[in-house]
Amino acid sequence: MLGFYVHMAVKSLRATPLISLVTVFAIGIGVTVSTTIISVENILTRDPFPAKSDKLFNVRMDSWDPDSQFFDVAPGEPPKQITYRDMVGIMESDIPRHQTGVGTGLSFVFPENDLVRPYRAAVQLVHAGFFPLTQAPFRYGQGWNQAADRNRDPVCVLSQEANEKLFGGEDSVGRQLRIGKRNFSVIGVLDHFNPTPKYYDTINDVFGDTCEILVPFDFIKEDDTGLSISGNTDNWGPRVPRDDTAKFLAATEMCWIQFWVELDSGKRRAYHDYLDAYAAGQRELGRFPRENNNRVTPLLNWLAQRNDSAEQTRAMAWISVMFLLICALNITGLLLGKFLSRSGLVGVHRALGASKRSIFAQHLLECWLLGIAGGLAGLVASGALLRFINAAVPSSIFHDQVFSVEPSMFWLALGLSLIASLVAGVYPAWRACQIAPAVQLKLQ
Amino acid sequence: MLRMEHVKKIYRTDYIETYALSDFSLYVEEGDFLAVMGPSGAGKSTFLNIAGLLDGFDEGCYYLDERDVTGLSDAESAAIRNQKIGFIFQSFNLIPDLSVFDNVDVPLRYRGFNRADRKRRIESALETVGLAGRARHHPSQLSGGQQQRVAIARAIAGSPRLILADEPTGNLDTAMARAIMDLLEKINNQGTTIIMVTHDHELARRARRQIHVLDGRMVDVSGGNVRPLLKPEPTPDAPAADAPSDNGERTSRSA
Repeated sequence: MLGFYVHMAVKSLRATPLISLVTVFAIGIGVTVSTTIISVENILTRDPFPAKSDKLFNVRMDSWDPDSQFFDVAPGEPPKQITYRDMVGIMESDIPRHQTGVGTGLSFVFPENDLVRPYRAAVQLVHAGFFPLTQAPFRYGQGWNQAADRNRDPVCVLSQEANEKLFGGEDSVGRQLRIGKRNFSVIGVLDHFNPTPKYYDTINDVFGDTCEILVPFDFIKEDDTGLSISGNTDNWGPRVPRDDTAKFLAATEMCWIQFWVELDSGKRRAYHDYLDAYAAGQRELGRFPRENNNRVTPLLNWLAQRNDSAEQTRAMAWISVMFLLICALNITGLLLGKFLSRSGLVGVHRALGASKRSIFAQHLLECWLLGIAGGLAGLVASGALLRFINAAVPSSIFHDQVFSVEPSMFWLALGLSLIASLVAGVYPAWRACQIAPAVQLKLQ
Repeated sequence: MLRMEHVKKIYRTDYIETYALSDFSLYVEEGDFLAVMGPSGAGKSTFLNIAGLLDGFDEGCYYLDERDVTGLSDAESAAIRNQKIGFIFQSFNLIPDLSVFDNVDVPLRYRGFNRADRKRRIESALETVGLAGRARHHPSQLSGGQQQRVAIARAIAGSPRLILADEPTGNLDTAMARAIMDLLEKINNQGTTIIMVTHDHELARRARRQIHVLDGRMVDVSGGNVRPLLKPEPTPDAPAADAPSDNGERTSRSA
């Protein structure tokens, strides 16, 4: 019977191509808007590191000015980054399995290959713990160890893209790279590693690429590297001269470092106590003028806090679904007109043995076919729209192909279009099945 | 086959009530061929709609094939329509988007026959009406007479016990009307009961019985008297024995 209903529905759709087209178009528009925004929302809110997201914690400490609330966070929240000297201080803890500061420096890079011109590059300042903490995949070599951090060994890890640019993609482990006036040995090349969102750096470039070059954090103190602090910085307190970076970093209250720890289960409380004890110690030294207000925030909570755009996009997603439903309600009138204009045919079917339920099912199926067509059209249009967004937004904001229609969107589009067509078609279909056959057969 | 007793049908608006049928009683035996006549608005079509379970009624009883069909659910009515009743309309009422084959197929689909059974029945029905070679044509490619033959094929494909024909020749010329009447007689002779509404006295005379409807009541043809229940006198003749003569004429037994 389903085959017969489909057959009749297709005949009906072909009999009124313009109405069918307009209906598919309207549902398609609604599905396009919905799936596009929900795709974006999915990207912005998804768990970027499911294997470890319950073990990674962002660390914040409230060393801020007692007389003013820190801006750009919810009331009562500490600054979103920490100072260099607090980073050094809390790294003394042996509670975390892994820990790393994440900062960004800018400097000129001089490739070994003379054919590649020197260029200004963002350099990611991290600790040895960054690599096991993020499980960044390596194509060649590996990351450095804690001894290299302590000894400030001039080593670096390149991103896949940087290795392509600087060394033609070959195994560059052992090759040299000059940053500023300092030579660094390449000890590792990352495989493709572009977590989206870039959870370990939600402050500066949450949807950007991984930095091309990663070096041990403390090279920020080496002036001959030419590295200057880059990215979001928030400062208060006495002005500190910047001519000697090491002295500046030891004295300034500038918050510019995101700090991450990987904690085994059950160690969060102990680590939090450690931070409070550290802050109390600093308070005795005249710092941390506010009450203890330190945070050890799980990765996903931190992303939710930082990702304002995700919240806005989630609201947009709901609005887009409402938009789709409004499209559907507009189609209702169109379908009602179409179905009632075929009252005579309904009468014939009723005379030939169709029950009201059959008539209702046939008409609803016709709506669903329109919905499926609209959903597929919307999905294609959504893919094109996301491609356009990817192309239109500078790659410095979103790395390539960050937005795409995921396979789950197919089912979402199908579900939305079926719901929309149900909303649009249920009343017209109900009216069609209520048609009095006796009257219509006489009018035929 | 069909028994209506004191059926009353009232159409109501906010201000007026119109008695479409009033104390309407009728008995139709299996294999009968009944011509229903009467002026426009007399209630012929209302009777046909009620007989075909396309419309309800306000008072009275209706038995179809010995079953009380008063107050059936929509699904039950639809099933009886599909299995026991075939409809033939004045304006054919074919589905324009479907081929001849598919048009005849529609009631069989609702009946739930399998593909092979449907094909056999469709081909047989089209053979009966002489349109076996037009199965793939669409209604718009056929003449009026051919379209009505398709409608007849559609009506008989499911082997119904009763055919209700509402002015089946009303849109056809005389020659075509006679041909359609020949076809209906042929079907009746095979045992199918037919109730036909017509304005054409010549065609009506070819039916086994004629009844006249006036102001929603049965009336005597000769005297205009109301006859509340038309129950035929017992007859030993089987329907086949009442086959028309060669010239197609019949004698009314009821009026």
